[in-house]
Amino acid sequence: MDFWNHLINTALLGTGKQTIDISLLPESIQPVLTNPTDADPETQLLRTGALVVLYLQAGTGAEKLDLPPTPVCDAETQAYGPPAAVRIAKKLLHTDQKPTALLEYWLDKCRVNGWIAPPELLVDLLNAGVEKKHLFLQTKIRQVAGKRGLWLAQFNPAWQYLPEPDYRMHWEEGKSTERKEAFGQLRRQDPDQARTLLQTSWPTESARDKAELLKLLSIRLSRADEPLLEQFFDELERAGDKQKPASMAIRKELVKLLLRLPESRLSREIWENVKRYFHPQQERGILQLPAGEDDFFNAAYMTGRLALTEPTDNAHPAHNVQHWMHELITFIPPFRWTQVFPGSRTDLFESWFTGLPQGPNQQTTDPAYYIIALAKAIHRFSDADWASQWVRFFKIRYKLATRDVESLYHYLPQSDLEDFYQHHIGDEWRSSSRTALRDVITHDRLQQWSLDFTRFIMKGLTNAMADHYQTGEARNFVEGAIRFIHPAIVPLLADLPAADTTEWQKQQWQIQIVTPLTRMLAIRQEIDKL
Amino acid sequence: MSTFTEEQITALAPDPASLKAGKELADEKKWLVYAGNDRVMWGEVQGSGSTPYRTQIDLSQIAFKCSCPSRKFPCKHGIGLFILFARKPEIINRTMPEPPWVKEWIDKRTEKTPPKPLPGASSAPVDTTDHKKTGKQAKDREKRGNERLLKVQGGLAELELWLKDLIRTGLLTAPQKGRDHWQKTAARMVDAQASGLGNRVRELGEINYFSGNGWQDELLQQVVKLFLLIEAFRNIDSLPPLLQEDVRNLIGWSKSQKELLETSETETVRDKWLVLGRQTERQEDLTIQRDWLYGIQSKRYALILNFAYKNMPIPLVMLPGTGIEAELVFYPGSYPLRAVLKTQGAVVGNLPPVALLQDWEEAQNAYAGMLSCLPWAETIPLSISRLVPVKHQARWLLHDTQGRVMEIDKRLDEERIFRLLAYAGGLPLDITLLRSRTTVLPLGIWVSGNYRVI
Repeated sequence: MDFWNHLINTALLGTGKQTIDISLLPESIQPVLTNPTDADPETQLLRTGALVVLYLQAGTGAEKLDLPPTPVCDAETQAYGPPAAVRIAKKLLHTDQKPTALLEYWLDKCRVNGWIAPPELLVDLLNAGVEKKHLFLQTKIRQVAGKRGLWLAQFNPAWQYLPEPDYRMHWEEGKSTERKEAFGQLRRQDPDQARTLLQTSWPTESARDKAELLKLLSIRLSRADEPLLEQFFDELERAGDKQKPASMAIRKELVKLLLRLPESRLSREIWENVKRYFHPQQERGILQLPAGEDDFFNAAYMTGRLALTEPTDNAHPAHNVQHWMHELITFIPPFRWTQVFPGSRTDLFESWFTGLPQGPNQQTTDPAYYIIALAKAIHRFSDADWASQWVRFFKIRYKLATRDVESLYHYLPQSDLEDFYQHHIGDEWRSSSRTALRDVITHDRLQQWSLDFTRFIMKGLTNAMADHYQTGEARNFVEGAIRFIHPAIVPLLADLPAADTTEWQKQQWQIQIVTPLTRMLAIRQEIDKL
Repeated sequence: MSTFTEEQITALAPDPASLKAGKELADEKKWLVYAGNDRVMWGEVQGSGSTPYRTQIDLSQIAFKCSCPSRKFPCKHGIGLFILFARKPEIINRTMPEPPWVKEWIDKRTEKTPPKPLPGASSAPVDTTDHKKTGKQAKDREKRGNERLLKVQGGLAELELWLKDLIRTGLLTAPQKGRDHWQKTAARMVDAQASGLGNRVRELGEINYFSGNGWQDELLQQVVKLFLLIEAFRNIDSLPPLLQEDVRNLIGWSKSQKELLETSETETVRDKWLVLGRQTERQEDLTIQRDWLYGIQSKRYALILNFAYKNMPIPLVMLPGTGIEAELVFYPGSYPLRAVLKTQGAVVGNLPPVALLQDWEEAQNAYAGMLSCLPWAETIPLSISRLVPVKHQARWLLHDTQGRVMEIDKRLDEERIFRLLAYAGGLPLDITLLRSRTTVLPLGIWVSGNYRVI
């Protein structure tokens, strides 16, 4: 190698300035060199160079390197997906526009069956999680990547989503946002441990962080959290700094949490006061609110102790009271109302429907001010039974279409939902809340739709073909809802557009909906068969 | 019916657009007809014309025909139908009789079985009826040969002088010389009918002179090997006959496939060949496709080179990762690797694994053996057991059981290295690769006795 470097240096300078020193040539190849002494310096260099190059190439093989031991991935404890599953995955992964919902469906299938992706799929699968529109798949990819996927991820910075972060370390050493993210995850994983961590760090947290962390304590909130929350609340009461905004933010979160716990002192205290204003038998109305502040509805208690907001329109003292009552109803566990309104729930709703006064905005025609508050409470306490009955009673009467109402649809059993949707909600399909309505029928808890319901939904989509924007939206919806769509719809699709549909719209229907849906359903059925 | 994978078919697509369009056509609902049997698959698809396009695939010898006007080969219909076949072999109607338009085509392709000789592979005896004419032709040929020899000798003398000038004045200024400097001499060699030398001179201009200190070594290596070739030609009569063939070939006396197939002294090997991998390279308007093969019985490697100008299709279709029964004719040489297909038979499956070298030392011996036969050789295909891919100081390496490493060629994109890693999981893999001077380029791996293209 030294001689080769000598040759390079000489060649760079040029034989006009420097000639080669043959004596430096390795002895073993000197006899091979047949360089006549009368050869010019250039020939000598070129000829010797050819010999040395071949000598080096033939003799210099692989480099000996002392490398640290190669990390070996742990043995898998789960079975690889069968060949049919691998074939489907390749079909899904080897396309430019990956069908996200089908990929998710495939991942779910693998997870349920306890399968992991074999090595041949890993690179494409891990890459799929990097794409912006697939970020939500990362957790599911993690579940089927197996130990090899985890091992492989270390080599590509883009795959760092795969190893689950060390949330405990992030909580202890991270920046403020990282700590909050970590706390939320810890709370999901082990709520008791997370609570203990918060209790330990509480004195050193800033007021702003305290409020943010309390918000996260709502994840998997339980009675076990009550003592700590009571303690924090008592500390606030003792401190007496009610007016400071940061302190008020903490109080607000504490109140929200305590009121979500029906057995907490605060929840019972509120209920004991609220129920005083309800009188089921009164002819003047079931709710008798004071015209102005009283011992309960007063600013010191409502905004001071409970950190409730004041209404934006507080010109009239009665409006304040009505506003606070609305707010408090949202915190009353639904079951408590049976104490004041004995009898069936329908009777209770009937009393509220006929006996409640209108809300504070007298000029509006909204009669359901407190009934909406009840809907919020039902959702807050996740009471499926109440939700179902509320929807059937009030939705039909008031035709309400607000987010609070839509949130209750999630509690309906699937057959009820489908039935209710077809008869009472379907006409809102093209309203501004269609996204929320679509979320309702594609919720994770639901199974495949019935054929009737699928037909109803698809029929609704035919109307979208007149508008380019809505056509695209409908196509995205169909792709996202692929796991719910009944496969038997395929032969019926062509006949769904109304008789007066234009040829162009029919063509759009075929191209944008029927063709891709048919293809996707075929793949979904393949996945179902796995 | 043989089993083809989607990846194998994907590799046949002439460009990404055709592949994308083909994948969209891999949907049975797009086809008016789709059917097949062991030897052929066909389909009819509605295109923009009034009559449906008729697409056919010869499954034995992998060939396509389509009535569509596309100039791409295979067209999107061929790709689409083939992918459909790979994805859903169960839906293909195998009982449908071949329609006349299919039967005619596939019969024509197979009627001369055993394997149909490829164009130029005629073994008909030379027509000797017109001795007079033949004699004149031979005379003319000899005259042309002598004229060319003189031209080449002149070119070689000019090139030698040019190289010596380069060495005398020093290589230090090479980076400043610019592309034209090298191109000019390369063109002179082409004029002298020494195109092989011309290519080598042009490659001097393609060295990356601005990448640090690597160019000096690279340049001098290429220059001295060029000089060695000049010297070899000057002393050609003293070289063994096969090496003489090599030298003449390297200078530019290339033998056409037709000539090769018509020569009776060529080495012909009939075998089941595993298609190890494909390299496609674009040089200006020329597409060069290299298919690397391994003969199961003969235990030897082969390189099939195909060229296409601009967007012209490369007619020969082999699927990397599959096996074919074929007769290969090797170009004569001291280390024969390059071959042409004389006859191509059916696609075969379940090929046994290749013979493996134990480590880099054995690989080095094989490489040195190649150099001892042909000093200008650059690349050798090898299959080596128990190599572990590792990353060390930003370099991807393959290390053997003895702790020796070779760097993976940077042309292998990182995604394919990740595929290697996914299979390895930190454990050794049996790898088939191309070993060059300082780097290796993996072509595929052996997993449970099955070959997978990387």
